Amino acid sequence: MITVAERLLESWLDSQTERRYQPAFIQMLVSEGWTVLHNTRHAPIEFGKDVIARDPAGVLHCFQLKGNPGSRVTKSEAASLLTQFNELLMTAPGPEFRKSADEKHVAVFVTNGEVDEEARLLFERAAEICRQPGATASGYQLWTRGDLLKKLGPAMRVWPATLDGIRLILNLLAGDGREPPDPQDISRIMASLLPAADASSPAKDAALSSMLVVAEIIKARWYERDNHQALHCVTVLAAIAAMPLADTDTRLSMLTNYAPLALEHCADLLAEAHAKNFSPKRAWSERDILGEYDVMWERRRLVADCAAIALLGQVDLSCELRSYGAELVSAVAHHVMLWGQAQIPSLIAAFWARGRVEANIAREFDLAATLRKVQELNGGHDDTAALPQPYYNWPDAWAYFRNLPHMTGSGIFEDSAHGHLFFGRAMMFMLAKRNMKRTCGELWAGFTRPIHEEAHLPDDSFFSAVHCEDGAMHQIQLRTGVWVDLVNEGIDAAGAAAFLDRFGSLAWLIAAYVSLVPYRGWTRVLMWLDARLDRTWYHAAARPE
Amino acid sequence: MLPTYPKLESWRARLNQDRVRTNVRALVPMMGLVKSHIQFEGRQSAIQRETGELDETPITSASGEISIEFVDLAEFTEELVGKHLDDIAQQLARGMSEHFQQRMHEVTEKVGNVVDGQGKPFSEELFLEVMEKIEHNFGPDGSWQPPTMIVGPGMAEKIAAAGEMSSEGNKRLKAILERKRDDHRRREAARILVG
Repeated sequence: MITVAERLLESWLDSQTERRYQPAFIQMLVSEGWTVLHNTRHAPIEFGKDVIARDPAGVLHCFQLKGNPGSRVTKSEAASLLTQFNELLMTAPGPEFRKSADEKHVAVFVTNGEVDEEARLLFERAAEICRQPGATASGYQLWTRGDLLKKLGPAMRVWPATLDGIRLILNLLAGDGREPPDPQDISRIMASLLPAADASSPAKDAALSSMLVVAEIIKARWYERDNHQALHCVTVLAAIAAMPLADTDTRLSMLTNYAPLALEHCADLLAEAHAKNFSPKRAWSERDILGEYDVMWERRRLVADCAAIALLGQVDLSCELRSYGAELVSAVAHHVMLWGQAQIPSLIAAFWARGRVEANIAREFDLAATLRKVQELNGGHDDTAALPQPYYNWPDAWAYFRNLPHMTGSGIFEDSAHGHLFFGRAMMFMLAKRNMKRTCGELWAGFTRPIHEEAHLPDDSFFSAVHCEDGAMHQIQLRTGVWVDLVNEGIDAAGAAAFLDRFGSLAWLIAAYVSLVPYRGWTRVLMWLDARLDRTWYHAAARPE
Repeated sequence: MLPTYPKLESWRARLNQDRVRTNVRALVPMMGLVKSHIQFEGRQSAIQRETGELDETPITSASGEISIEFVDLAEFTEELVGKHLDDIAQQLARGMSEHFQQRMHEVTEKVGNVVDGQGKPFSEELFLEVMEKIEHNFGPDGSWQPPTMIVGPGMAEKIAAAGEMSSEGNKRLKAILERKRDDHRRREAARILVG
């Protein structure tokens, strides 16, 4: 019997180009115990080889991927591919991938379509070249739609079994690809794929790999629209959800190999924005400039957010794109349209990113200006001006400020954030660690007026965007501060997020996550990130006297 | 695509459309007198007369063109959006008004209902001639449902300045209406299935 999951998988595979199914293909290999050595999604093409990997027995394989969504490779198409096919057979992968100079590889031609008999014969004849002296391939294989479906089978074993999980996936696959993903929905889907806490190590390997395959499948609609920001969002949420499984070096390596896909989506978004002359300073629209009025400022922030993560993740960008990304993050952090506290972690990420491309103190002053503004708005006398809690997104805040209760399903109309402030302490610590003593002093009185909200939730809850019912929210009241204590508290706060230490190389991913799920921007997490993503005047080895 | 919020876009697009429609109605009051009728399918429309004659109703599009500069984002305010929409509404209103008048002229000329004043000032005689030409509506109880006059700029004042109708004029109007009422009754009486 064919299950809904299998049908969805078939439907997904039948609509993918090679570039789109490549990440899932990689995860599929990893789940079978292959070691992936090279992946063109992350690096330039290697002589007709999209993927270079060793099978569990250690045999070197070179893959060339072709997209034939819902179609067949005909004889004429096969003929047109022969040059690339010969390159796959006759050109050895780089020496860094081979154990010895004369090691041969198995050439694998992969397509998500079917292959006509005549085309198959053509490939087989061309592959006879392997028997000739000088051939670098020891043999050839053809992997078609049926083989891929069989290999993707393990992902189906972790497919959500609950009606709620299936409904969430169906909703995503039935979407139009323009709506941004709901982080809580993605986290719920990912959580439903997690194995039991006492699962064996192989079970965890399989679950981790399958989670990442499923993440690629649920991205289908956003791939169709080239909605890079949404793709980035799902990739980040999936990778973060998989972090609890990365408790061995092998699984951590699986995760660190997958995570850069989020950076690729950021780079794709930057390239598209640049090509379309999107500017952070000017009114810009994709279709209807008068109809897109309400999304312009937030779109600017989301694009800049991806630029910041691309810079923090050190993705390979051209000089032009790097300058463009720098312009975006600077503009967004300097000229802020504040609508809610949910923006603050992404502004902090922009601050760190600016540290990679700017060599002046402007970003510190911009951060201080943002802190001053949020203190005034949430600690001032006008309770209608208070910025909503970080649990509300832009459409919620927009509905609230326009007094359109029917446009939001959230509780924002019954929720006042007046007198309460999230992230204020983290921003103050960051300024203090940068020795902005005078600025901190000027901000201090306003800083002590609102109550500082901080989440004291279990460490495990960090990896999911689903609201946590364990733990507590602490409301911190402040009055008189001592400079040295402030700096030391800022330095020590990073140590309270030791559960993230294992993921130091993925600090950029965690920064991306708190930008997308701002209520996970706990003070200790932000300070942990601050210690890893930026240099500060004061730090653990240089404390104030 | 660059990130967006489709629900917010749809809401704004509807709001913009409503603003343009409201403005057009205000700028072309006669359009407000005509009931809107949405044609869901097909690209053409025609009236088949009692005689079987097919009278095509030309469908024309009204459009407006504005040029919007890529201004500074901070200067791209709701007021500016409104100003652009009002510009569009003015152009649409002009186009629709012209089309309305042109079509009315074509239709009335075709059935011989045109009364040309030939530059003469508005007079009781001219008015009665118009009343004689047009078909009048009567309610179920036979009460007359006076027609609406749409006149050019300044004409309303001239009509008002012409003052009340003379007693002779009133008698003639009454006689016209009696004839028209009889016509109406005949038309209504003809709505039968015979044979």
